[in-house]
Amino acid sequence: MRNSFVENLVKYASKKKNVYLLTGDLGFSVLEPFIKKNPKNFFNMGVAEQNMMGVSSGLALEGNKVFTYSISNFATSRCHEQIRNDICYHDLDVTVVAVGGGLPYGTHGYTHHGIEDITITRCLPNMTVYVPADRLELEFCFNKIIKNTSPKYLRLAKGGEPDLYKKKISASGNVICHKKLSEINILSCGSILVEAIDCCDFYKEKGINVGLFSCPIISEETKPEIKKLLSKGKTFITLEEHKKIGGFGSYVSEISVSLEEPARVISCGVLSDGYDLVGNQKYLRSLHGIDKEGLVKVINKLLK
Amino acid sequence: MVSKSFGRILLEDVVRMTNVSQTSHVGGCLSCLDIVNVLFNNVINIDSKKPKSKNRDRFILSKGHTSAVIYSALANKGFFPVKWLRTFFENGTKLPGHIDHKVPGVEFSTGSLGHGLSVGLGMAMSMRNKKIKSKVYVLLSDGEMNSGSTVEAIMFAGHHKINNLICIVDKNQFQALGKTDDIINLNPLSKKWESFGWNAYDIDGHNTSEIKTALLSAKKNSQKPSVLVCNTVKGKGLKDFEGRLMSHYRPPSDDQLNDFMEGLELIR
Repeated sequence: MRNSFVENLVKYASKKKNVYLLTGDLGFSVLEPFIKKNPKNFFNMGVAEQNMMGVSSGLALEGNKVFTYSISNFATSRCHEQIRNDICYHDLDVTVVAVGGGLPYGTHGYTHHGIEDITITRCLPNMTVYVPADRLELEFCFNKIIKNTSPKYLRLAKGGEPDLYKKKISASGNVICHKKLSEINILSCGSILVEAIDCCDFYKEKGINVGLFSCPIISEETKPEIKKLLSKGKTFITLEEHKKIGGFGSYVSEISVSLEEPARVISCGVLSDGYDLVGNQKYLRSLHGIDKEGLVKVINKLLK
Repeated sequence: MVSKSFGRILLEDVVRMTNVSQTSHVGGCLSCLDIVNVLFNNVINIDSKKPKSKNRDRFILSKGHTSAVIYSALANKGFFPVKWLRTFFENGTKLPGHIDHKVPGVEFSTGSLGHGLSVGLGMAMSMRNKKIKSKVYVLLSDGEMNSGSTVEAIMFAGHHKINNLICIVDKNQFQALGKTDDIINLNPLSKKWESFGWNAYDIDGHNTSEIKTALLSAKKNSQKPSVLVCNTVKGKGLKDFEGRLMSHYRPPSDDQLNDFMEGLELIR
């Protein structure tokens, strides 16, 4: 997905002179295509993320469209106040791009688990959070990102995620329907969509329809679409590779409680007491019950 | 009637604003007042009629808690009505205690220390790429030299020779809980900047002639970013406040304001 991001960025920058890319000394064998074509608009800021965010704000104030690149926690937690005060309060055209969102760096340990980033970015003023599931959702998000002049957080997984779409996404809104609304539905956010698709296919073979919607954009603008879904259905399982506290599940629950008749929302995400588990992404998804098997357990309980 | 000098107007405004609002930070306003006086009156190229002109100089107050002196400078340069100064810190005011970009003429909001230099650096980088000849001025406190983010920006600007960036450090030797020398010794400060590739001037921050000479020299430097380490006195000019930590917190009382104004022969 990170290579797809750079492909999209290079394509966009070929038409614009004001696109800047800053990195916190990361992006080996990823960022080179941009650097080669836009050497004057690329800066390696070093291991200095706070300065990177301040500099990105200064560049944006001068009318530029700025992208910063780092690993999830370095891109968000380490420099959160710069994102809050400098970028968001001033409503600047900066996209904070993070790789390693979720658990793709699971074996590297807790320092590299990007599992609180959605919580701490989505609460900021003027901010839109983009969490694509694969390269086609990334393209879908990127086309919105280039039109959005306010602060943005783009959460990428790592690389090598499977393609989950057969063709370019043509959804008119921000929510993408995979399986139409049913009694039980999954609202999925990010690359973990692959588990939700497998789960729905499993039930389809049994003649049970489970609704599935991918929600790669967390923002105020998306809320009416989620609200509409929640008001039409009964039970929604939210799925994310992120802590349950404050993440996508919380976002959906907040919308649900604003309804006259709230929908039932069951949150599936990284467990708070298992935050320090170490292992590869597949292993950790299984431990946190956010893989296909975990979802099946939840749905089987509902079907009883 | 002889018109008051710009510096005198700033001085009166700052002491009156902090007295009326009964708010803190008069000490840090007064330590940088002579710098602001020279900068806004003699050096910086800004025009209230063209506040967003591409060719304007940019100014960022990184020590955002000393907003009063900048609000006064901008109001008296015509960016907004002087009468707004009377609402400083009030409920619903247009002039928040920490400097705010929603105020006409203010480029950037600060208040948390250690942010301003990075932002000024980003502006300067863009301006250099676009071949805009103007300068970016950033005014920092010595306390915020503790911040890692400030040091990150210093290193980067020096390495990349961002020569349109001019930083001014108000070295009043105090930070929130005591003397900077006792908390984290910064000395020799100008040598430290130089070691990171900056052109440094170590000057008396209350000598307007020295400030002006250094700023004009820094503007001409085409090789490196420049810093003026301005040796100043916290609370300068206000009796009982000069060189005292409490000037960071305590506002002038009515009696102190009256004494001050009498001293300036301004009681009307």
